Amino acid sequence: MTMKFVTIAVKGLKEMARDRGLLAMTLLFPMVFMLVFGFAFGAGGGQNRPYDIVVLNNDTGTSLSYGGSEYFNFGENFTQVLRDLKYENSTVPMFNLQNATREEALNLLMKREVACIVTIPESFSDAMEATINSTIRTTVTSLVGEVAIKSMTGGFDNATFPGGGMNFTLPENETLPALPEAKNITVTVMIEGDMGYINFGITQSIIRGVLSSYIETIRSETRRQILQAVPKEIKIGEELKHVSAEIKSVSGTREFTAFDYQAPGIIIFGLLMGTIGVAGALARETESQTLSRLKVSLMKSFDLLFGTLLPWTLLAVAQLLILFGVALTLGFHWVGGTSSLLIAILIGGIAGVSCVSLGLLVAAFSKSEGHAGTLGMLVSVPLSFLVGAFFPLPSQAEVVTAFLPWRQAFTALISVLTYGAQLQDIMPNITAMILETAVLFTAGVIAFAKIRLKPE
Amino acid sequence: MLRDEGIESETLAIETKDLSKRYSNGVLAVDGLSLRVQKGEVFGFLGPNGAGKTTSIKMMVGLLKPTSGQVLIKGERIEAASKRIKRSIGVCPQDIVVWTRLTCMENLLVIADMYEVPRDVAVKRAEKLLDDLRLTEKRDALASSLSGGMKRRLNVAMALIHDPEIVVLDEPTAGLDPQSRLVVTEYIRELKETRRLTVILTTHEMEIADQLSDRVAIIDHGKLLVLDTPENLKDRVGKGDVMEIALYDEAKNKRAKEALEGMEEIQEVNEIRGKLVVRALDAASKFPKIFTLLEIVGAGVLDVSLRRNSLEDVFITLTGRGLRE
Repeated sequence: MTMKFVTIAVKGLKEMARDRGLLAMTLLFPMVFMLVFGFAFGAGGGQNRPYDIVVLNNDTGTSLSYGGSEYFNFGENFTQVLRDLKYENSTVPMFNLQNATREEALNLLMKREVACIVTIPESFSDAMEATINSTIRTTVTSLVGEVAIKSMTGGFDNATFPGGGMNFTLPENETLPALPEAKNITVTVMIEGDMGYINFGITQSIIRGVLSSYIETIRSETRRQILQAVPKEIKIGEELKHVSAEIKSVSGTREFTAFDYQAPGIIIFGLLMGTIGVAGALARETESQTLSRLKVSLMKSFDLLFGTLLPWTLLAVAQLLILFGVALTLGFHWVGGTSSLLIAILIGGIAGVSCVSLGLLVAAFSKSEGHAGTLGMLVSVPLSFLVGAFFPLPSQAEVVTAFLPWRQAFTALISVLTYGAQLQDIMPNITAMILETAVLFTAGVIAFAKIRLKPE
Repeated sequence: MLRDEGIESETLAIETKDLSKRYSNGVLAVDGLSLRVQKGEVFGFLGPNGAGKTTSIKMMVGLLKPTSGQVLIKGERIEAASKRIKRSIGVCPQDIVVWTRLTCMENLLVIADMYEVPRDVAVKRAEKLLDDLRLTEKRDALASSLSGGMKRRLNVAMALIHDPEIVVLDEPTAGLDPQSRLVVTEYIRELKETRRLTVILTTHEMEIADQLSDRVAIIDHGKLLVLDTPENLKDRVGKGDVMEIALYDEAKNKRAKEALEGMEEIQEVNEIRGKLVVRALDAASKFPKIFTLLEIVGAGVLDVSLRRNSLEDVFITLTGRGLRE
């Protein structure tokens, strides 16, 4: 026997899928807003134009311990990589590197004459060498075992090489040198800029990507040189991370009004539009008297309300993903990877429950679907402004709106998607959202059950 | 006038005790209604629009809270009804209450799930109901695409999917085309004859109530006027035929009525919806005398029809008004 709330949820999903008007209203309306804001604030513009940046290379270089003590400056090498970087299928360089001291660079940054300052630390080459050595050790360790390496510090030949039984041997008359030590060193490449400046959003995400790619290329080249004869099925262990990038915000250059700020707000607006849909669907049950049919059956209030919650929460998550996709297409600069998207889905899910709760409250006081639509619009549109979905709020208003789960959702979304915050960074917002949503849901359930589910 | 005193309590399906409902706008929709419906009977609830039938039904199934009085379903108060009692009632509302964006089958299965009917049983029952109510071809059609008559048949099927012992059918034939009307009335007859379900049938159509009901309660302005078998009710207002006479000039109805009331052979004359409704034994033999009299008072006859005594005549006798007025 199917549980009653599941039946109600499936019924809701089917009705939703077959109601094109409702889907259009719920999904397309916020999408139009996203498009308007995206184009209006020019997030998609500016392609194939070099971005001015300053690279401050403090790297002192290093003598490679593996490969004949050759001196090498990885900082210079990375700078050259940035200089040579071109747009895909184009001869236009991606970055225009300007020569400047740190002071001059900061001055340029404040005037927005450069998008960001990339500071390569002093020990960058040492960290890169550690990366190479770590890769060598990990690769060989995967083949012969750590114990064997520790006991053989003088090198290997075919007589002592323990991998001989694994279908590969060292080339004739060759000896593998002793494994280099990987220094315990980590450095950070600093990328500084104004979070509110759209060009900083673009350049920092590209530079982070280029750095990751640079390190990965060096690692794979190292592996390639060692493992030319090694069967592919041998798995290589995880190397230690010696180089990372950090974003540093330099605020105060201009007002924070770009599309990167607005896109998460429009996603919240889209979720709030779901309130109208929920209220409309429940009011339709009342108006068409199908609710009466359910009331005389064995259905409990929980079944109806939980059964309504599920499809609308799913729709909220779908809406978040669609709007996020549209925002990306329009040039939203997504900081963070898959994990940030998963966190965003979690935020969308909780915000979806908040919207369903608000929908219950609206439906409790609506006599017809039309009435619910009007009332829902009257509530959700001002709420979108009130939570700062479109424009930043004055600080006094923020104190008040902190009690609204959508405000918390907005703050959490912008932190995750625009600033690349981690789950632990937005835990206070998530906790507040859950508590506020619980209060709202309880209020919605009580109001709807008392007004609509009791005998008249 | 009320013929239900002899019913034993263990054979009672539904009992209302001094049931009243006054709406917030002050309208007294039901006024002290006391009824006892026996298990296995078809109980006709007859009255004009606005008489309080639907309000009474809504209170009986627990959708509406009475202002005073009680409703007992198989001895249990409806407001505290157990699962067993709730499961024993099926309701077909007056309005068409279906999910228009679900198919016929999906509509039936949603309701079956709400009554905890196992899925395999529900599917079989749904197939049978769709077949009985001539909806098999529309099994997978969205309810929104059905004609009005089909929707109403689906409305009836949804009241029966959980195999209730008591079925409340509120105006099940309202607005139906002749074909759908026949399908529904035949189905109600089958429920009565083969399945011995308790059926509460509200209608303002006296033919339906007359044909299908074991007993009929006639209500008006929220009050129970009379309760008995259709035959007893018709006998009670007098045997004989009913002539309906339409005059060329309706303005002369009053004068003609006074003249006809003076005739010894005529039992009763009423003016209903612009026609003179005359009841008399062997009415056909009285035609020449009636026409002569009407000619004397200057009332030319436009149309005459003759029919048997009906429940509408009972209502007319009791209230002086027609059921559809």
